[in-house]
Amino acid sequence: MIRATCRALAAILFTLLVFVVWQAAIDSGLVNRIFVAAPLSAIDVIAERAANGTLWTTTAATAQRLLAGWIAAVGIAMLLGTAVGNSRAAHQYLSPTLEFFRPLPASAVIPVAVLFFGLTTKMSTFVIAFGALWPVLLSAIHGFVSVPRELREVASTLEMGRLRYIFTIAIPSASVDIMAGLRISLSLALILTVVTEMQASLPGLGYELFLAQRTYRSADLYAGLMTLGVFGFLINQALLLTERRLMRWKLA
Amino acid sequence: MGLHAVAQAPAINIVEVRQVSMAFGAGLSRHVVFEDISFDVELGEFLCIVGSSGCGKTTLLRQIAGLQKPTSGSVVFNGEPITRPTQDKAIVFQDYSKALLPWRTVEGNVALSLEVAGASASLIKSEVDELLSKTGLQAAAKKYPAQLSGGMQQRVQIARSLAQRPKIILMDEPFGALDAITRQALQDELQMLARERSMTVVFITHDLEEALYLGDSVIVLASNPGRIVKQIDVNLERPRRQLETRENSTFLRLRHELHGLIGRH
Amino acid sequence: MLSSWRSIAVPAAVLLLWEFAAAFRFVDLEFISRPSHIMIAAISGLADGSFLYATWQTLEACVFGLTIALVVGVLTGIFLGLSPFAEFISRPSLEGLRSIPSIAFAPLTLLLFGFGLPMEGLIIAYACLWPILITTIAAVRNIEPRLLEIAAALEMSPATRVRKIVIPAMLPRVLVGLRTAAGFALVVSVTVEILINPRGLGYGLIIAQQSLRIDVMYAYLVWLAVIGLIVNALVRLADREVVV
Repeated sequence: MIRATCRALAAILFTLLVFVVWQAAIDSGLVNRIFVAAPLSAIDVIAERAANGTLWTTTAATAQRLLAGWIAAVGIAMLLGTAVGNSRAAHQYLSPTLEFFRPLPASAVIPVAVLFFGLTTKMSTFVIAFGALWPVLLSAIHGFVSVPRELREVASTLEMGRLRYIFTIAIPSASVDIMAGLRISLSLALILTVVTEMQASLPGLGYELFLAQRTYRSADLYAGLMTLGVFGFLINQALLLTERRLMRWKLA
Repeated sequence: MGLHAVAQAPAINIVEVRQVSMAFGAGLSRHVVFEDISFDVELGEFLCIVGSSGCGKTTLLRQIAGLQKPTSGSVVFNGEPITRPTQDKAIVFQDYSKALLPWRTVEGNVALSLEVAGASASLIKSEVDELLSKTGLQAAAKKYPAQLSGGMQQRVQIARSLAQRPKIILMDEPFGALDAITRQALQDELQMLARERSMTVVFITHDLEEALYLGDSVIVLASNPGRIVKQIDVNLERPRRQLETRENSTFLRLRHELHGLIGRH
Repeated sequence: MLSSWRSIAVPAAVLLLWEFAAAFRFVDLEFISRPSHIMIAAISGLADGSFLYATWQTLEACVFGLTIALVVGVLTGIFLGLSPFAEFISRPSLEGLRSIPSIAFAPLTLLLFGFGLPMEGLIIAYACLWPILITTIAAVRNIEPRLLEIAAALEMSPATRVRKIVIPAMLPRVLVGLRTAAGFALVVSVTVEILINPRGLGYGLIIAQQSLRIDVMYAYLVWLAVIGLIVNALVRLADREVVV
């Protein structure tokens, strides 16, 4: 108990130490203020934004776009994945083509999206959805194809209908793979949200970074990076907690 | 007089296997797993099929279950040819870790067949409770399969198949992956359940002693190609006991007789 | 045999339909090119060297970034792997850093280094650092203790022990991290190039779109998919050769 508290304290102290050394490097003139902002200045900016409300509106704008795109991606991926993963014919005809697209960088679709939608929110949502659906789709298909033969035979012995099989056996069996796919797709969705914001100058955390760079405000830049870091951390934790609740049987 | 009449009543065959064979490939690469296998399974009979690996005994079982089709010949179940798996032919797999639903508790696993059949919640509860107590699983009811030993997991599989109310239970070397002590315990539990419920069982094993211990009759399969070498009735008293039965002179004689048959092929 | 016919059946049918629809103007050619035109654009792009030059630039940045990530990642990973205490106290800072998407550093590296190879390479290095770091820590932690006992019993010198036991034991896991990182590298480089950096395949892609050379744009896209497949296959091959 005491050891755990000591270790936790040491971790906090070390983190603070990093900030202190960083601040000292700026104050002493060792590192140029234009390129590397002092942590205190960055935190000042964050506090200011929190006070005047822009922090929340900007974060909300990014979060909204991220979630819209990601949820669309997950929905489409699950529907498609369930159909392809549970039908041997569909799997044989479609999986090789789908696997072909796996190594394609998700951001490569941005120019195509800009062509179709211009520099708009629609473009951003499309790119996020398109990019984020592949990890979930491919891992869902893999999960469905990997249902143990014995379980499939138990299902046919019990004369389960296809739909019942999918919900009672296939999806829970594939859930481990699907969860892994969800984690990857969420990080990818965040990256694509930031990228498309920068590309299309859409209001949000990503765009703020670009603005800061253009106006040479390094404190704003570092503030933006910190905010993004916290935001990214929080959404990943949210997914992790959800996963833990749903997959309690795995930890047993 | 009455007893005599009952003894004379003709046995009902629930399964009739007629000249069944299984082969893969064609021409030079044709591999015959087994050929020209015929036998009957009587209602209420505990039939053991024994043979070394490669004789196709698992394939044969799966054909009776409807999971595979024979290359030629026919399997008839309850007077009708088998076309697909059905609820009344329960199957217990050797690899219990893959045959149970890891995300459901023991209760949940056993309840599965009842749920599919559309039974009411209260009926499910009472049936599951009864089966769990019959198989010694009450204490583990709320546990997940991963938390149980191999023997316990296999009991869950057995309980689940009983929940189906099958007409026949097909078991594919169910105790093969268990240690000797657990195996003996499960053998006795199984034979007790079989007696109580007048179950019809087809039990596959490579262990000759197990086959003689459990079965009312034993079929010996040879391999390369698979074929029936011998079919005998095991006229030993029930209930059978691990020590006494295995020392019984009839048991030992049968063991001698069949041992040579398996080893030779 | 049958399965390979089935795998190309759908894409072949789609391509044919697409070609047909485009040829007869059922689709708007301002947005969707004919597959035959795309192929011509790709062939001419390869022939005149522009595709290959762009590929070289992108891969150059990837190698640059991966090398930095490998060196920093393995060294830090070994240190943190050997000292659980160090790993524990640095965890909040590292987790915080890891949560920042690498692309967010683009404005910063642009500010520091301007356009060109370094700014892109550093972003790639940042993105690739994490899988390598994590797998190296795991690799160090999971070296079979029995192997180290054997080393002690044979009275191996530290250098020999590292060479004959530690490094081979660590290699498989670190290679898994490298494989993940290689995938990241390509994605990140193309993203940075699409966004701001005027070099490489991503730049070619966005310029083609902006100058409305749509067939060239799609050609770049197809080429990118091919490059991605090749990189993937090479990594998998290297994996097998080195580990087995």
